[in-house]
Amino acid sequence: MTPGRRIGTAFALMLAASLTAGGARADSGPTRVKLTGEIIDSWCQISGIMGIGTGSAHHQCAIWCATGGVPVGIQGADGKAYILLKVDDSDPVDNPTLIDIQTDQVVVDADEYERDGVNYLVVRKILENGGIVLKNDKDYGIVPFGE
Amino acid sequence: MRLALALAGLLLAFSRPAGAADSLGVSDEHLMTVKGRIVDLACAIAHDCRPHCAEGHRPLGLEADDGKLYVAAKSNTIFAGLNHDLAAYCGKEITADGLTTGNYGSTLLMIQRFKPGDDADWIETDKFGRDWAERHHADPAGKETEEWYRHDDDVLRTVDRHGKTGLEK
Repeated sequence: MTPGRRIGTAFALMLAASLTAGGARADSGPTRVKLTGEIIDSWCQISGIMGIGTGSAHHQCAIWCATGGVPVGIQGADGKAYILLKVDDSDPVDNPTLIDIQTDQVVVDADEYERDGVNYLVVRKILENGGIVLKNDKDYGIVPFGE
Repeated sequence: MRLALALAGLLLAFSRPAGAADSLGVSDEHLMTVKGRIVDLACAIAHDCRPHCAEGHRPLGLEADDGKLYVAAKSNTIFAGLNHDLAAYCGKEITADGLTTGNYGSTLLMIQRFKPGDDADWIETDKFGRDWAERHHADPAGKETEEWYRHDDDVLRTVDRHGKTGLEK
């Protein structure tokens, strides 16, 4: 290998390394998971803007937000909030099936991804739906507005 | 309290100077202006792509010029996301003015307004409300549109079946 070609090869390797490590992009996955969690309105849960973003107290608000096209998510029993990219091969925005199961506790078979500090799921199948498990409306009333 | 701040923030949105996002006092909030491309998140993350970002039926993201991907989650219309505002800009670059909020290991982007070019005017993210008003022959600036969630037929049918707590379904 000539000196010029060595320098070219070294430069190419450095460029490849910088492209791999550089920039803001940091992604992983997918990892196949079986996850238990509550179907949520991602905005209210993650922002905390309503104080309460889960359970029967927040059920009506979750329907409002899912109908309004706020990304639907799952608050996992593992403590992580996930954004749903697809569910049962359907697109999740303004999806009547997902609007109908807001606040339900589900068990899903899914592919999990993480990128730039966000957790995502492509749900292959909803394995179980246990309905609303977190019954917190007696503690908090109807959130928001109390009605 | 936070809801009151949010509503106050939405009102302030109509009187603020160009380039300034309004605080809502939400979890791990960062006000920001960011430039990037509107993308279909299922395509960007899972490489499951459809034309035109599936016409807005999938969550949309903003892939910033530095490569960081944001979930475009919330608009200025109360209880509404951004797909009505952004689907038409799928694959195109915008400058967004808003905030990020994070908790439970995930972060979301609220875009309060955006402009589709350096010389373009800022556009408020209120298209969900305007589209709702048009579909329902309502005044876009009226009370019915402002409280669309109390008048929307799909919402009313679902809440009627479930009850407000969901425990009646």
